[in-house]
This record gives sequence, structure tokens and C-alpha cells, in this order.
Amino acid sequence: MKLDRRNAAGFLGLFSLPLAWSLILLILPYLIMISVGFWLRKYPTFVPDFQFANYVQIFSDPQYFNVILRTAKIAALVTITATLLGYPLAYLLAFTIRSPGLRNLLYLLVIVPLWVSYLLRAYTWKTILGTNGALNSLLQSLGVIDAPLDIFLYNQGSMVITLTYIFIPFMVMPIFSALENIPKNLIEASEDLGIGPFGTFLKVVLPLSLGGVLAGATVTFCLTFGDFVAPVLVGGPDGTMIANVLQNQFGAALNWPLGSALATLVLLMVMAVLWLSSKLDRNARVAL
Amino acid sequence: MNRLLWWQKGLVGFAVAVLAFLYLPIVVLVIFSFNDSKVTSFPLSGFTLHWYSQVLANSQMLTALGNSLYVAVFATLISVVVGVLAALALHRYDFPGKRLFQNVLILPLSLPGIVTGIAMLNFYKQIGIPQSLGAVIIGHATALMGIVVSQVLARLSRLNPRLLEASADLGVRPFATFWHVTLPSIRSAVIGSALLCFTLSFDEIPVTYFLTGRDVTLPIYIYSTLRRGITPEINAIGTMIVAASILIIILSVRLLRDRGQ
Amino acid sequence: MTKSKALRQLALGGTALACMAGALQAQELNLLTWEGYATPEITAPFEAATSCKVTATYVGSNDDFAPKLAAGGGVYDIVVPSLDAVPVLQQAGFVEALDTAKVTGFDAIYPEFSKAASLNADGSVWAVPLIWGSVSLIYRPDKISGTPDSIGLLFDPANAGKISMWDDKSAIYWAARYLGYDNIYDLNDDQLAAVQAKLIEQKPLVRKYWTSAGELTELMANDEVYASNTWTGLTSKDVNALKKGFEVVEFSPKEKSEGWMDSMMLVKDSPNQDCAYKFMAYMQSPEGQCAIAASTGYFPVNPTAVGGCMDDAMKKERQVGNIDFVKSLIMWEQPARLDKYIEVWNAVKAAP
Repeated sequence: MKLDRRNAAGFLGLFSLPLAWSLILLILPYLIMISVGFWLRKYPTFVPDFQFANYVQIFSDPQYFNVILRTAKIAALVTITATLLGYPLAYLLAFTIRSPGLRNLLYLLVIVPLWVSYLLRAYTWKTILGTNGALNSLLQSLGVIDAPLDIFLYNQGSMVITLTYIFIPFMVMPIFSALENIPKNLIEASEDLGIGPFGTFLKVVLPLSLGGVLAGATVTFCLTFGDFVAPVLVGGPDGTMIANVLQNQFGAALNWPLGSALATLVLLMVMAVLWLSSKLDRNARVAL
Repeated sequence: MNRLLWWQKGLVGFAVAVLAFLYLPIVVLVIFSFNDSKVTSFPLSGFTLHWYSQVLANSQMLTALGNSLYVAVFATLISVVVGVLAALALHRYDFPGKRLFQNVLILPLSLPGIVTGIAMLNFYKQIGIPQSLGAVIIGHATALMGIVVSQVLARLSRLNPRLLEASADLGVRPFATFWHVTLPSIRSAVIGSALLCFTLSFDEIPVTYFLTGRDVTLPIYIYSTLRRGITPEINAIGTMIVAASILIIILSVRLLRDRGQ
Repeated sequence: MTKSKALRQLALGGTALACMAGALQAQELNLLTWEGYATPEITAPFEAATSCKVTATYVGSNDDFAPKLAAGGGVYDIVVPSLDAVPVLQQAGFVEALDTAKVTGFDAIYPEFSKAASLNADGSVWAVPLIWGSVSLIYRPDKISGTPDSIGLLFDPANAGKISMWDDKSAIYWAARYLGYDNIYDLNDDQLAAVQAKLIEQKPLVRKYWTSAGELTELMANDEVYASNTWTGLTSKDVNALKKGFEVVEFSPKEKSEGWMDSMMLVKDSPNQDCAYKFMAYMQSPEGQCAIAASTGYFPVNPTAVGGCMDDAMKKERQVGNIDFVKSLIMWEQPARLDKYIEVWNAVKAAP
């Protein structure tokens, strides 16, 4: 209902606590972070100020640009791989499996890993991919290789594998619900018209599920972009991502102003991705 | 299964492979929790329950587990209370800035946790709140509130408005209407989002990393242990958490289904 | 659950917590220290004697101390940084000047440590030495041919993909010494540029930078790396104890090893000063010094204290009375341009 004088009391009763909470504990912290980005690092700590040296440093020293580029590359690879692995699974759940019981069970199987400690799941990949790991042991016992290979762990490939693994459920869930919402008679109609399963998939199913793909891809990209655990556990010397640099500015470097400026940039980049994603989503809806 | 076409068979095969990929690390985790060696590497050395008794004897790890439960319970309670209030207000009233408010609430869910953690660290430092579990609870509650708001709001919007109107027309007081009409219909959304909040809070790393002081939660304890070099105790407690989570998931699915009928 | 019930529970929880905190406050001691420095063997006798309850939190690097204190006070009472992280804590005002009269046993500490420039500033003493040791090189003789005698081991393409290094600004010291610079704590811009280039050139040879002794142990034990720099004593002991069918060997390169010394500092406005001083004194007692030396494998700073609790073989191994050993090391100092060093190390890690 429209807010007016008669119902203002009820509105305030409901809304004042959530509003105050989010203003003070959510919005204010982001604003303070943005403002600390203009402070000055002054050995041994830092002082309030309003100057742009932090941003100048970020844009003039190539190390920050390199890391942001690498982070975006890894996030993009993870998003693509997770989509390619997650989509068929979601499709199978939504269309191929007829029994609701089996479907529920499989859906649960997809989301159960989310409840298992993120750290342990990431760590376990180290055990699998390492020199004495499960993969090397398996390949050796099959006679594929004679000596263990180093190439599986401590590089960007192992980071992509680990992160893809973490984010597959985040891809399957929204794609599945998008596929589930496609009216079945639409598909039947398409098949009645003599359009084969692949034609139906390309012309009906895929376009109608793009919203789900977009939602999953956005979450995967944004969360991968800010990950700092995978580089520490399975990344090699070339694995530093932007979140590790942030962590370092608040740790070893004790340069909160530079760290806050970098975090502000990450905030802006992620918000740009979110904006783009919602714009694409809206366009797709209009086009249909 | 016989009636599946060749491409459907291929799809099933692919899906089974993806599921195997999803469960491979969990299986490895469970295997190593029973493996009789201090170092997590192949070949396996033999069966032992030693690491489980080590977990029960490790007071630091148990304290961390207790801290995690404490944080997750209170963060979930706050998220649910404040989040349901917000959802009710957003559902019932139109006001300027409504869309913006909704977007801000869900921002921490898509924003990398490290940015939210840094923002809150800056804030707490300014107002002089020391790093502590209390700070972590407030941080988690704030970051996870968007889940409750969006799920409850989605359920409310599917609610038949006539029901509420009828209740109001019959002279039922607003609180009684909430208690007898609104609450039962949003119950499964509340329970579902509370469960999700609890899980995410229990496993949260980046915000906790920046806000916690000398009391550590289980993920932070594990994180520091991983950096120091893991002991298989971690695999054992991981296996226990897997078992507990599966139990909770099955229970909650049952619970929601029974209530739904 | 209703709102009021939830709120009531919250309030209850809050009150209970506040009560607990209040009850504990008078008799507690919170350490921010290194793994192995606060084992039950070390803390239990202290707790029994003083009724100060010790809680320890562990750091992974010397760079963890300042940030933890910068985030706000009231959390830790004693921090235990190495020599090269002492001045920054004092200059930032995170710690208090010490009254050494309250630290029984202080006078018996090697003066080379207690009178060190890093610990004494503005006419006051800021830190009480605790334990010391060296950083040397470690390698797998069964995998690396010949007998290495130089830091060059870590830069040799023959060991490509099997090298590790401590993820720490001290990597700059190692590269600088390999390049033959002797002003390693005060490198000029050209030298730093050369060091940075050398470390980036080394990156393809490195499998993983280690962040803790435990991680290096795991890397060596699992055949991931064959050579690294190491905190002398700890990793070799742990890897060889695993009996994986090979042994690792430590050595001091011809360019010398590095020396470190960890000391205790009192956090500003600590509400538990009394317990803190008692702990510092306890750590200079025979019980304290021998317990920490036993738990870590490092060297005691107080030869008088360990006189009665170590046998002669142990004294020899732990360099008791052999202060000349210190002179064979390059003792750590805080770099003159700390920010620049950290920036260079970050640039190395950020490089492709």
C-alpha cells in the first residue's frame, strides 16, 4: 500500500529497526571504507586525510593491474567451466528424470557439498592433485605415467579446478529453477511441430533458461573474484589474486588506506558486473 | 532407463561424472580421516580411529566449534528477526527508495566477503569496538540478512492478499493476523532461510577473518591449521561435520515436507 | 520463534557473556605468539603458580603483529615479535616501555640481545628477549646432486619446480646476499630493482612459497619440493621424524645464515599488566627457558637459567655460552625502508 499519514505508525514500527540496522551497520561501513581509501599511509601507521595518492599508486604501479587482470581471467574461466559442467546436470534434473523422488534426491546430492566446510573441500584438492596425490597414484597404477607429474598442483589450473568444483552447485540451482519454470507444453508444442530435440533445445529451452545461467554466472564470477583461499592452498607462485593483495594491505603492509582504495575498486567492479547482469537479464526478457 | 535415447544416455553419463567430481573430495576427506598417518598423502597406511579421539581431546578445536555454533545461532536469530520485519515492511508499503534499499540489503551476498569484511573492520575500528565474537555476530547477521528478506518477500508476494484483508475486515487485530495468517504462510521460507543463514555463518571465512579477535571460529581455526600444516584431525572433524550436515538436511527436508502438507 | 523471545534470549546470552568476561578479566593473560611457544608444558606450571589463565593465539609471520594491534586494543597483553618487527610496534605506540626491575632474571640474559639497539629506544627497554635461532637452507641429498654450499641452490635452474622460499620480505635479504650486497637492510633503489628482477627470474623455478614451518614440512615430506630456506632445527626434525624413506639436511651457506631473536613486548593499556610481568619473569626462569627450548628446538637467551636444567650435550647443541655463534650469523634488523621492502616483495608475488 502507499505510505501515508494513516499507516505511518505501522510502517515505522516495522521498518525502523531494519532501516537503522542497515544504515548503521551496512551502509556506513562501506562509506567509511571508501573514505579511508583517501587517507594517507604514514609510517608506522596511517592518518586521516583527503588525497588521491592511493589511487595514483594503484593505477601507476603495474603490479595491481596485473593481479586484477589475472583475477578476472581466473574468475571467467571458472564461470565458463562451471556453466558447461552445471548446465547438463540441471537439464537432466529438470527434463530427463521423470520420477520426482529421484529428482529430489539428485537435487539434494548437488547441494549437500555446500554444507561441507569450504576450506576442507578446497584443501582436499591438494591431496588429490599433489605429487603423491590420488590422481598421480591412479595414473601410475594404470601405467599411464612412470613417475608422478608436477603439473596438477600449485598453478592456475589447480585453482580453476578447485574453484569450479566449489561453484558448480551455485550454477546448477538457478539453472534448474529456470528450466523447471519452462512450461512443458511449450516443449511438446515444439516437438509436435517436428522440430527435433536439438532444435527445441536451441530455440526454446536455451533462450528461456538464459536468465538462470546469467544468475548463476554472476554469483560465480563475483564470488570467485574475491576468493583468497584457493591461491593460498592450491595456487603456485603465479597464483596471487586481488583478495590476497587486499589481505596483505591489511596485514603485512599495514596500509589500510591503500587496501581500502583497492577494496573500493573491487566494490565498483563487482557492482558493474551486477548492473550489467541485471541489464542483460532485462533485455533478454524484453526480447522474448 | 531403457527408453532413453542415445543423447539422453550420454547426458546421464555426463551428469554422473559431474556428481562424482562433486563427491570425490568428500570421499577423500572421509578416507583420510581413518588413515593411520600424520601426513595426508597416498598410499594409505592403515585404518585408525585415532584422529577422532584426537578431536575429542583437542580443547582448542572444540572451543572453536563451540564459538562457531554460538556465532551462527545468534547471527541467524538476528538476521531472521530484523529480516522478517524488513520483508513485512517492504511487502506492505510503497515508499521512495524501496528498490535501492532492497538492492543494498542483498549486496553483501554477491560482493566478495573480503570487501564486506574490510568495510566492517574499518567501521569497528572507527567506533572503537574491539575484534571479538560479538563483532563477528553483528557482521554475519548484517551480511546474511538479505537472504531472509528476499526469501520471505518472495513468499509474501505469492500470498493471497484477500486473506489478510478478510482477516482485517473481521476485526482481527494486526498482531493476531500476523500470528495466525501471515506467520504460518511464511514459516517454511523463514525456516529455509534461517537454515541457510546458519550454514553460511557456520562456514564463513572472510568477514570472520577480519572481525575476530583471540576467539576463533572453526573455519578460522582450520584456516590457520592449514597454513601451519594440516593434521588428520581436521579430516576427522570435517567428516563429523559432513555427517551432521547430511542429517540436518534430511531432517529439515522431512520437517518442511510434513508441515507443508 | 517470536521476536520478544528471541530478544530475551539474546539479552540473556549477552549478559552471560559479559559476566564471564568480567569474572575472567582479573586473572587472565592473552598471548599473541608463535606455535610451540605456549604449549601446556610451558604454561601449566605458570598457571599453577600464579593463577593467571593463559590464552594463546598464534601468528604465521612477523608481519601479523602490527595489524592485529592496529585493529584495536584490549585483545592481547603480550606479543612476541622477532628483532626486525620490534621497532615498528614501538614507533606505532602499540606497546609500553618496560620496567625491567619487575622481570626477575632480566640481567642474566645475553647482553648481545638485551642491549640490542632494536630493543632499546628513547631511553627505555621495550622488549624482553625470549628465544633465538637461525634461518639456514634445507635440501634433499637424494634428489640434488653434489654438496651445495651456497644460496645459489635456490636459484639453480637444475632444481626447477622443486624450490620453495619463505613467503616473507626476508626473501629480499636472501636474494640480496646472493647478489653479493652486504647492506641488506638498507638497499638503495637500484639494488632493490636488481633484487626484484632476480626474484622474478627465480619464480618459474619455485613450486610454492611457504607460509609456516608446518607447510614447509608438508611440502618436503610429500616430495613437492627439494630445497628451501628454513627456520633451522624445526622442519628437518619434523620431516626426518616421519621416516618417509629419505632424509633432509640443513646447512649454512657460504654467504652465512640469518639470525633471529624473538622477544616479549607489553601491549599498551593491557588490563593484565600484573600477569604479563609475572609471565615475562617466569620465561627467564629455568622452567620457562628449558620448556620453550625443549618444545621448539631453538636456543635459550638466558644461559644462567638453563644452567641446571640442560645436560652438556644439549647445551652444546643449543649454543649455550657460545655467543660467538651469533657473530657468525647475520642478525635480522628492521629494514630502513620497511614499506619499500614490502612493496617489492608484493610486486614479486604479483608478477606473472
